[in-house]
Amino acid sequence: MSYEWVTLAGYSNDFVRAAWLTLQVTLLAFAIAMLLGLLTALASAARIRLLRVAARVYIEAIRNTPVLLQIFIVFFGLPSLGVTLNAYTAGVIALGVNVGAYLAEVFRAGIQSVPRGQLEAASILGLERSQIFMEVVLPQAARAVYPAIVNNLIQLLLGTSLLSAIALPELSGTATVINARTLLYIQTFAITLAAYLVLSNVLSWAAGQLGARIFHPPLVMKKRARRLFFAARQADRT
Amino acid sequence: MSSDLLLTSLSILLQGLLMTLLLSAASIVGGTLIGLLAAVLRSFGPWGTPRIARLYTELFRGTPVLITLMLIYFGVSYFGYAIDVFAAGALGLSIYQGAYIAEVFRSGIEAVPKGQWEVSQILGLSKTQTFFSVALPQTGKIVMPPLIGQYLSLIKDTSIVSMIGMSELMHGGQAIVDRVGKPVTGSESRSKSMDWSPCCISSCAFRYRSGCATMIEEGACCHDQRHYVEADHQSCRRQQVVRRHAGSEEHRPRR
Repeated sequence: MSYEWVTLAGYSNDFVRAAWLTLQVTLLAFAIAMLLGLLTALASAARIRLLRVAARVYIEAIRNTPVLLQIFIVFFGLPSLGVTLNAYTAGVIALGVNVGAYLAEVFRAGIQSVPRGQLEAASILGLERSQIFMEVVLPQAARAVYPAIVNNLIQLLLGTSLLSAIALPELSGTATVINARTLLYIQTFAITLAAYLVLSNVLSWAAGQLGARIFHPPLVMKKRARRLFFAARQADRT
Repeated sequence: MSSDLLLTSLSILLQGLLMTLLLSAASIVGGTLIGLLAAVLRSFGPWGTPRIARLYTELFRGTPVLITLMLIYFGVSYFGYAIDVFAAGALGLSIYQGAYIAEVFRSGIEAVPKGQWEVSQILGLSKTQTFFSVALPQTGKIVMPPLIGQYLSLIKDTSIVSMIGMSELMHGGQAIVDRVGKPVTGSESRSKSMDWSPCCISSCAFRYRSGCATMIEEGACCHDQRHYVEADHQSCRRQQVVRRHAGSEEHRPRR
């Protein structure tokens, strides 16, 4: 029984490197997604009709097709248009563009959730349009959408597993290789499962800490990680 | 983009589309059942089951579907059984999406007002009866929109099953690309548009369905009122059942 784990312990370096790569891709793609999402949310509320239509088309096209297909189109499809990307860049771009569409909807909902009276009061006070957006709408919207953004970050982390399809050696890709080498299916994938679980819980914990710091009053989110085993006693019975 | 290529690849794409639809249907049924079971266990389950249900949802919401699929597909053979790739895909997707659907159902169950439970208890319904006849119908209406969103993401997740070797729509498109060697101008784009169409169709169908639900919700038909215990519509089955139970309670001989 134990020799299997000893065998896999020899691959621990690979697992750690893969986890680091996964985290890197997640954060880079998330940065792109935030930027795209914000721009698209702004464009979908713009005065120019063409911008609104473009934003709508982008959001609908991305949200209604599978991520895997989008990754394939960026990695295998773009070279025939003359753009050749390596797996890392293609993966980051594909995931960033994908999550950007989801975040655009989130931001749009957040901006709409700000009461109209706030805008009217701000314009009566003589603020310009850009000032109203930056200083009145954005802070309130950010607070409203923060949990949804964190949710998308976690989804993005899980989505990076699909990059193994374009041979990026992140957690799933590494697991597939190790699995093919050792044929220890259960053990390999159990370790991978645990690695993803740790990563996603660490990310959501960090996001919760950040949310409690940057917002005033502090934004308290559900603590997923800590309640996993321990504090379930009373809450579940009611 | 010759019509020749379209004709030769159409059968593969159609076969893939059929597999995608079958797999989606199987996983939607399986995922909903698993999700409902997990949600009920988490809310009302005896002994340690709430904790197990919670562990299940946390585990599968925190890990990618690809790993779940591989774990099932390869893991089953580790224990010496062979599993069909369709079965592995349907099982994996059901278990994975079941975790999300469980959360949807749980929020729906918790959203049913506590008064409904109390009234049912006063009317003499048992807990099981209350759940199935009073709480569940109301839950269904509350969870319909997020549930549809979850189903749509499930349909898109079926493309991932191609990575453990099932030839669904995406895999069909990939096979044609491998043969023709023109990913964008060739069939990938067509596969994309076709993959989009089931999503659109189901989205429209689901929108239509939920549109009906909201119409009913606005009180167009009395039949729907059976969800609520308080209304006194003679023609509603729910009320009759409630009355019958209330009556049986009264007729019980006193000690």
